[in-house]
Amino acid sequence: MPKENLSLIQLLTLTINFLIGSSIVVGVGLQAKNDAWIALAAGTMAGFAIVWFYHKISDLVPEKNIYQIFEYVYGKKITILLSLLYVTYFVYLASRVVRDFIELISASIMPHTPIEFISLTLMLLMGYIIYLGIEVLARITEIFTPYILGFFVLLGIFLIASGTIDIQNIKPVLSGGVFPVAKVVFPSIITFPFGELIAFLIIFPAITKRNHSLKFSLIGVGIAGGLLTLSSLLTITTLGTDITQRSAFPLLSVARLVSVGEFIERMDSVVVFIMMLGILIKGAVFLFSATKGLEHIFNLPYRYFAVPLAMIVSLFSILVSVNFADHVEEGLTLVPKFLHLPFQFGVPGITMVIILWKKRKQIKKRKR
Amino acid sequence: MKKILLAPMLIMVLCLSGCWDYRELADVTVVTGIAVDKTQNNKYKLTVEGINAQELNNRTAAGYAPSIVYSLSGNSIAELTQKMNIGFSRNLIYSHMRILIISETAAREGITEFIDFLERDREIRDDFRLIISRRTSAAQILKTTYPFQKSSSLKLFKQMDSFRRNWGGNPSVQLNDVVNALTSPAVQPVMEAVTIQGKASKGPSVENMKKVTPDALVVLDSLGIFREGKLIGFLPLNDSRYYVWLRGKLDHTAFSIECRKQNNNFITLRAYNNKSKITGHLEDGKAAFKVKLQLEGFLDSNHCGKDLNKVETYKEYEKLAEKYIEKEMKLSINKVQKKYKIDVYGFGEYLYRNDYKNFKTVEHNWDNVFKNAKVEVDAKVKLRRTALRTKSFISETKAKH
Repeated sequence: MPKENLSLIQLLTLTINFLIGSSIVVGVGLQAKNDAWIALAAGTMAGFAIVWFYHKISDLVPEKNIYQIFEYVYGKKITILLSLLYVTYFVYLASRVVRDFIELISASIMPHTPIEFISLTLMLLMGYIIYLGIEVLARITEIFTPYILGFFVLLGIFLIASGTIDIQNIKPVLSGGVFPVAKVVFPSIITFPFGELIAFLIIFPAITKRNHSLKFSLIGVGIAGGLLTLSSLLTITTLGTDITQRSAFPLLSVARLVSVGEFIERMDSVVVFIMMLGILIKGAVFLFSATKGLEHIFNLPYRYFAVPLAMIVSLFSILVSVNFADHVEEGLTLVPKFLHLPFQFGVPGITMVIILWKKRKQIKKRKR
Repeated sequence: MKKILLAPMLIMVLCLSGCWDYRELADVTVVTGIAVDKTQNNKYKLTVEGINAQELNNRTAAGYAPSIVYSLSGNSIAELTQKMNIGFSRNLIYSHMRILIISETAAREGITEFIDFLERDREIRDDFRLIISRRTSAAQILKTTYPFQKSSSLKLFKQMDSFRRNWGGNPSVQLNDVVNALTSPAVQPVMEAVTIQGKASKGPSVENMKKVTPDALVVLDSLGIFREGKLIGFLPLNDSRYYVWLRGKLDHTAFSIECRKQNNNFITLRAYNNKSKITGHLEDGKAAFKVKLQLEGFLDSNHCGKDLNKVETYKEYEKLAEKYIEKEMKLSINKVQKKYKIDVYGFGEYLYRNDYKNFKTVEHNWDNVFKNAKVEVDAKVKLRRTALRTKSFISETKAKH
């Protein structure tokens, strides 16, 4: 299988879009009420540490993705089991991400369109992108990221211009003390979206200039965290805490308020574009991670699995939850505890400890 | 090979060709305003104004009715909006709704129930005005025609905007303002009220548009104030202006200030750059506030004819204006404190934001605390210029005699 090459800028843009992805659709840290932005800023700090952690693992066993690292650490049999678990995890996350998008579209733009078609069209595209390879995905991201940043700036300017922003809304700051905010940061924000960067353990080996990749990942996390913080500030200052908390899609509600001189109005479509691109990239990264796992298990090129797996994701995005409340509740209560924590920190943490232990043994051997 | 590839592509085209949700323009009627009334048998009566676009364009207008108004009774507004085709022929589109009128009786029984639908629905956006119809049914307001903006809801929307810009007597309440006030512990919602002047029964016809003084005219009346989502009373437009000022939304306005007692003479101050700032504190469950008002203005009329070339006169008039505004503002706030006993101004909001811990202790009976709160008003007027003349000709004519 030929090695794929990603540039550092592509890594940066992938990180940004991946992190913005579904988090901007449903909003993160809303439980912290009007301190959501503080929670997000703190979460970004934690995000730096998380990225550093994943990088460390990847650096310890260079040129290898997470499945190959498992094989290096655990041997063949356990690796197959672990890989299957991770593939399932990534497919599940991809389904959830796509479901977020489906809910957004059918609640806001196309209520009468069957969600199966929304899912199918998106997944056909996603499958095709992964079939063409991660390089294509990276290039798509590279092209569209400037638009996302531009639209964000535009949204901010237009909101200020329409006079809907009331900065007083962020008061009282930290009304309940630090503790409630900390509770939101851990485990909610560090697992979603920052912990999901675990998928990048599969992308890191494809970076050409590996020695600079940590720096660019950190910048990516910084920019994405900044954007998320900014978006939560925008929603709180325009909608007020109460409406923000009751919004299914806060940023969309904000965009609907834009009205500059009765001329530029209702920027829903711009926000939907930001969200759609984020979802496409996040979903595709998960899909890629899953196909890579199958590649490792079956020893076949991952492209073979792209479209079939995409169809599975498409199906499961519909089956994953019965209704919106089910979807949100599952995402807030069950997934972080039972899926995110073990898969994002448990397994990698243990793996890292074992790697370090193995390395030390090797060094000792050499000394002898 | 190419032919085989063509087949899936064609199938895909079928999937991608537009969506289920398209609506042809020729197949829709745009709703510009809706009105909610209370009926005896049902929970609500919904009245919808669908515009006849042809009549709104001066070139294509043929003199028919500019809009069709139709009412239907039922138990939920949300259902009624979808049921309107009992009377209307085309699909109704609510996204361009400009006003929502609630009848006085419906508002007195509570607005919270159907506000939920308005906030939730994807088609309805937060850019329409909420209005109360006073002394008349909400439907009647929608039916009253007017020659310039022929559709009555478009007229009202424009009217409220112009009034707010020139005199500032109405806050132009939007949905989010109401929802935020309803859920906030520290402030109560308000809505402006309109009524019909003249013979309401003559309003719903094209004939009404043909008269110099229309038989029926929708006029702005007052500011309706709410407690716990229920209308409890009305404040006159003058007090409404002070409310708008305190909420920091006052653009321009004009004050007539008595300058000489014996002849009942006035100066008119046209104000711009109006600012207000609330500060305050809470001690032992007693609140005290200080309101700082600031405005710039120019003199637009001068009955007294004092020499306006002199800085002295400017200072004198500034003093007069400051005194007048302080007195009026205080009276207005006291009126709300004494008569309605609720905080519509957002004094509590200031405490909530800046003194959260103390406010927590009085949150549950904030309106009671507000009722007894001390409010001081401090106005600062800067008279900048006197329009196109300096001295008034009045002083010249008097000099001759």
